[in-house]
Amino acid sequence: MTVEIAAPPVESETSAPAATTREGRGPLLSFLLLAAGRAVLCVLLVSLLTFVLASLVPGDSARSILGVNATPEQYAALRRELGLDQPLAQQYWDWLTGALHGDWGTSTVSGGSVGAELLVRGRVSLVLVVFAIVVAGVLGVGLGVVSAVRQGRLGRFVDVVSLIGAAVPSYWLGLVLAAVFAVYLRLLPATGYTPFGESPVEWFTGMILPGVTLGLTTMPLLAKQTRDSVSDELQKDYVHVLRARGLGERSVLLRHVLRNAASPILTVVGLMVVGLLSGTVLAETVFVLPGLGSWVVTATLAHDLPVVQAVAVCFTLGVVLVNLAIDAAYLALNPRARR
Amino acid sequence: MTRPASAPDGAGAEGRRRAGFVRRRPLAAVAVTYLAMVVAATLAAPVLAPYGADDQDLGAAFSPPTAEHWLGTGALGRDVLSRLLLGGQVTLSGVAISVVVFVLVGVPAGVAAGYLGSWFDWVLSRTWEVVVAVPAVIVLLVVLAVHPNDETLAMIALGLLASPGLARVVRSATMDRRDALYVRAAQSAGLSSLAIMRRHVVPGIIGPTIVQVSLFASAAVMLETALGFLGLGVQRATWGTLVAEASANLGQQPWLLVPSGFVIISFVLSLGLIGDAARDAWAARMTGGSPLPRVPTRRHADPARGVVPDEPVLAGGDDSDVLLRVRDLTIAYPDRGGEVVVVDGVSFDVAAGEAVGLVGESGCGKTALATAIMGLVRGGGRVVSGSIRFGDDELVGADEATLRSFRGGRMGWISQDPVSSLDPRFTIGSQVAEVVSTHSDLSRADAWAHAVRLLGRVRLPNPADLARAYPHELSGGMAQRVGIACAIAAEPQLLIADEPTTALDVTVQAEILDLLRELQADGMAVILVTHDWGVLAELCDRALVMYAGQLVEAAAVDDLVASPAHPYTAALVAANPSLARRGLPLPTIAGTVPPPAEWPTGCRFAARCPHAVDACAVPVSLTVPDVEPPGRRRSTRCILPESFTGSGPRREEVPA
Amino acid sequence: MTTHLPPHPSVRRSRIWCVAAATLAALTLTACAPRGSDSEAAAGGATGEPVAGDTLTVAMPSPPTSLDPAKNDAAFVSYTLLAYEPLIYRASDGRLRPALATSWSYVGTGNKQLDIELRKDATFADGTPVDAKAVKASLEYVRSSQGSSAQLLSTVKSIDVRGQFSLSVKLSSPNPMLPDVLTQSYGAGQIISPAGLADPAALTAGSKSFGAGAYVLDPSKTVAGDHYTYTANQKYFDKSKQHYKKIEIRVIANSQAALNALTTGQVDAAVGDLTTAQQAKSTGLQIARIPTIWQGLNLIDRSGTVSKPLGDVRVRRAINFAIDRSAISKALLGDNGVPTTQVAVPGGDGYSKKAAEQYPYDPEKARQLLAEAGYADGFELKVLAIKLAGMDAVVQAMVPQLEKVGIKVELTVASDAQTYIAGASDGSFPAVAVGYGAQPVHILGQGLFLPDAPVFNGFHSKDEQLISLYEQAAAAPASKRSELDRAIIERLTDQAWFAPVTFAPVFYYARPDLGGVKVSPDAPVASPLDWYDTK
Repeated sequence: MTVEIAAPPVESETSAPAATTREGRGPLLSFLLLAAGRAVLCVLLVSLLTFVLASLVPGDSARSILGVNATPEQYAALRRELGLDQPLAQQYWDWLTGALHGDWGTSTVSGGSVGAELLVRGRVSLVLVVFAIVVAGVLGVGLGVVSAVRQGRLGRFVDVVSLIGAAVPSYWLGLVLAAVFAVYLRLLPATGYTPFGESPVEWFTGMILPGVTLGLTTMPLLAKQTRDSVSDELQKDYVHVLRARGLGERSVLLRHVLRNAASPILTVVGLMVVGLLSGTVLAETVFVLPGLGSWVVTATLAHDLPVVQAVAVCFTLGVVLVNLAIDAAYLALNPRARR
Repeated sequence: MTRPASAPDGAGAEGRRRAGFVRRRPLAAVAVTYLAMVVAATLAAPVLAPYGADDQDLGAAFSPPTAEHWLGTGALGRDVLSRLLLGGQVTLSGVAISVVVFVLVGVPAGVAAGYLGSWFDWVLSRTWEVVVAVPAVIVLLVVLAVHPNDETLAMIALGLLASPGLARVVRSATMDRRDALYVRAAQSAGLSSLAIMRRHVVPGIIGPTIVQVSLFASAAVMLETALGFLGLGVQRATWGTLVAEASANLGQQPWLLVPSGFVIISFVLSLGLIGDAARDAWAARMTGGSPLPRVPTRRHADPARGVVPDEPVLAGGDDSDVLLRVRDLTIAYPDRGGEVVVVDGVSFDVAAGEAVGLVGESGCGKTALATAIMGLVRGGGRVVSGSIRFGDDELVGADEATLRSFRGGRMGWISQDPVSSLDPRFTIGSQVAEVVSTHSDLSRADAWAHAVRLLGRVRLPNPADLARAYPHELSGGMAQRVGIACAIAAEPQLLIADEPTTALDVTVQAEILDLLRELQADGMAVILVTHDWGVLAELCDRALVMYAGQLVEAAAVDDLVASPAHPYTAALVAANPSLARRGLPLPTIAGTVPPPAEWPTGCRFAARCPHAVDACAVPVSLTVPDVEPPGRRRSTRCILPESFTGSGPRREEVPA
Repeated sequence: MTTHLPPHPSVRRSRIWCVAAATLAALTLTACAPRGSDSEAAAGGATGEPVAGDTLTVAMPSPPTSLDPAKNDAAFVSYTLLAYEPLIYRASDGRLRPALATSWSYVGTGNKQLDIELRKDATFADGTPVDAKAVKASLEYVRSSQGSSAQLLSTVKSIDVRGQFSLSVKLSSPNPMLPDVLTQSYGAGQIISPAGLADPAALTAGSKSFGAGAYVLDPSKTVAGDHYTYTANQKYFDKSKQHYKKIEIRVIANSQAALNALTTGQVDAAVGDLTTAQQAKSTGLQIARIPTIWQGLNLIDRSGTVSKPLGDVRVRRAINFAIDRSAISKALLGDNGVPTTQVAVPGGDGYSKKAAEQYPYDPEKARQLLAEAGYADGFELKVLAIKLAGMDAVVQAMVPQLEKVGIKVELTVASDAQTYIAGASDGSFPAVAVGYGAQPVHILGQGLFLPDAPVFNGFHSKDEQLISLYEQAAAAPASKRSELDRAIIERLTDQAWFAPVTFAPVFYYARPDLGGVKVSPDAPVASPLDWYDTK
């Protein structure tokens, strides 16, 4: 028996839905502005904090450049030249305006421009973080979804993996992975970074171990959150109804459940990125990558404050930008918040 | 929900709870024991360590574990075990420093913010927003660049940095407590704020604080060892510098990675386990229950049957017209390692175009039965036995792909809560169009156009505009129409509606029923799950009455209302508001439906039945009384042959 | 404050010296070579024929202190010698070969004038010719730069241009080692173009190279502190010495990581250290090494300024008697170390058999000497070490042995060169861990024991007998000099200015088919220019 669909009056309409302009853009804009404002404030505060901390060094950067044998005249001259005789506020202002113009000062160790190196090394760290996010994302979301769907033993497996994963130091894991995959199996390069332009294959293979190391150590958090939010979503009425409408499990999961589960997962991604940035410090040291993380370690060991300062601000900027992007993504995913 | 704070736990209760903790969480108990052992061994390291941290045995450098060096030696023949024990003092005291700072700053700040509120709270929130964006490692590096190798300072900085996180958690726990009635009562009794805090607020923040501290302590261990590994911390044997030493001598003695890695991983793992357990235990306390509610008894699938097999409830018309044939359907749910039966050997037919009601109280298995027909029992339940034939196809045991083609294709589902049954993230149109394209080959555009037509067909105004709206922009009635549009998208032969009007107000109810009636008039069979006789009477010709997993009566709706043959039907009818007589108090059915695990073997309604006799204790079959005229078929599961009108007085005579 | 930091030659000095102190080795070599009976110049090396290579990748444990040859520390010459051709080239067998100079010789007696003839076909990478004027300007720049090489040219009185391609270097006091100083082993001999001297900012920052070397720094493929890329110089006068189109030096601080990179084929050769030597051997790599860096304690407070006991020669001798050199050497270096009581390598310039027998391991004697000096109950000694190249390990290994005779060591380990050098120079530590490359005694004096030697003679100890011997040796003809040099070493050993423990090698690891990876007693430090691919 078939049902005749009595065609109701249909307005002449062109197929696909075009975005209707509804009122309510105002709150959206102000939300983003507020978030951006918070971000700027955050970066300013961190830069100020590091600047003040750095100014507390007994013996300033003039002293560290000059060494112990310098005469007081030489010292005074260099201080003047470096602007260290200015009031702190003035020094901070000079540094800030310089930084905004890409001039982050001069490394007290190499004598090179911090800004120029920041760009070169930032690229490496960015690649590493992206690799790690991909690894953590694929594994974390994958494991989380599968364990939410299967429950039972696999769910417990994810619990165990995430507990242990959270307890394994990334540098230790990196050492073990390097020993196994690079030294004994000789499958992957152990250290170093090949620019993409030089050899895309080497670029890729070289990033595998660092990316996996960093990704694996941040993955558990994501897996657990994904499992929890997907499990929550799976309990909801609409999932049952979608299934009752004959939708395939894949479509139910990927199109509907994941999108609904995304908000709490995104929050965790934000936390994860903070962890990843911190993780670059260790992963780059273990795998000898010329990124910001290894740079800030050597700079810390050598008291190269301009470098430490610049990297601290850069990392904070990175976190803040990611959080902004997550806020925006949250809006995009959540029609309720949008209006 | 919180327990009265005025009831302090006695020592005995505390002890019992601890014992319970160990029993319920053996892993956490092991973790606590292990941590205690590590800390104790570290404290006693000067006594326990077989050698000094820097004692050398130049002849035995990089030795594997031996009788003299249980964990082997590193460079210069220094004993790994001794260095781990003594190095633990450095690492753990660094961690202790940061934890102390974390607690000393975080707890008072959180309590103050939660209790005093206002500007202090504001400051805390803003601080938190800034601090979460700062990678802690970087701040530690800045500190260490300024004060080389000053690990104490770095660990203090770490504690400070993390404390707003603790403060936030403590703040919300404090606010919960502050708002609780007993605190108000205490306030009115003249206690000072400080005394209230000490007596009532502090106990409430201990749980979350323990959770936060264990999380933070594991982070602190990770960071302290990382600093050691990078050479930025103390220049002595610590857990971190031991990993660094292992890393530098990996080629010479890879074993060195094992003890240093193990001690860090196991320590952090234990903290994690304790944190998890504390969180669960605290959550359970806050909800007032024990963490794992114990289920009284469990019963495996054990369908209790009548001695005489049930007779199936047949459809009214002739046999060739049967659309759905359910036979002996038994559904069970998992329960504490076994299963309990919730639908017990149900058999009935539904003819094409027929509207059949399914009535009964909540917990009788109506929804399980209805969803089982779609092949979708929720919550892990499954069809244990029986058969569901739809047309010529058997659905029990059919593969997913076949079932999917029936769901939404030949059977439509209308759910109870229209709004929550729509995906909040998608527009109405795309959700309807998705169903359309799932069951057809239409292009995206055509599917969309068809979806708009369907929205019109369910009498939604301005369907083209509405298609672009999101679920939260709709009223309940509109949402239910959307649900119906989805259900009829593929022109199904059967609509299963699970209490489709319960969540709606009365006028909207009527409209939805009109719509369903119209659809039925177009030829769709309907199974209507409800407990509302009014709704039933509006739509259905025939109804099946369910109680405790069984059909207890089936007949034309009119007959059921006018002359119920089962006391339960009679009671249901009497208790129904839409049939109640004005001005009289509404009778109710005493008691509740027992949980599936406690269903008796005899008549399941006997315990609540005003007419129950001793004979009711044996299983009763569903039978078709001979007295019925063939045209008005009815089945009943009662040993009493008469009909019960209302919940009238108990009959004097009970035939044996 | 954001302006470019100009070079501060006068004030950078101490820092650069500090790094020198901390280096794996002072890469200085003897003209009168130590004829090592124990010559461990190892490694079979590849035997195949040289073929043109594409890229050579070398791992080094540390970045250069500067890319300006004048300011770069001698330990890191590899970074500058590729781009800056020296006047004289020291080959891997230790012989001096012509480079920019075709010939050189002392004129007259007393080693006070060196005449140099230049080749006529050499140009800098920018195309300007390498002539006597350019060489003079470069040498004068180095002398005035007060970088690490300036000390070596401090006795240069004048440089006379005698013709377009000939010049004379005149000295105020005798220096028999000037040709050594002008090899690639030091920045002094690496000639900088006039364009480079005119642009000191670019020269210092290393944004470009200004040499006449076989290779040119490619700044676009260089990340300071991480990797440095050099491409073949199209204008180089001897194409046969350009074995590669490109040489890349990668900084890998952890020698394990460097070895990993070598085993996985990411680098072709690496500077290694003890911790990985055994593993490198077992993985079938070639290893070249020669023990040449003496490690131990530098007892710098010889007048007892901050540690009164150290002012007494008996205490310093007691320390020398207290050390079980062979045990430490064996534990730390296995077969790779050579225990020593003196700062001259066996068979090398100044090596003395007498000095070698002066301090056998004898704790009893040590206790006796301490008692004689009035320290029967021992004393406390503050020692500064640095976590680099095993220098801290050697001192840590000494600690229990010194404690056995009653000397309680309070050890401070610096993690960076700056802290180390400050501690060694400002009189806060009477004894300092040291790792110093074997050198001809004349050169050794300038860095190690003359009163104005920076850092390593932090308390400016002065011994008249020592100075007199040094001056005699400088002016003496080669035949007499070795005897005087031996006397200097014997004096240093007898006065126990140092407590050397062992000579440690610099290790080179290379893939088995890399040719030319050799070291010799005369040239313990390898130059990547000598290496080539084989087929």
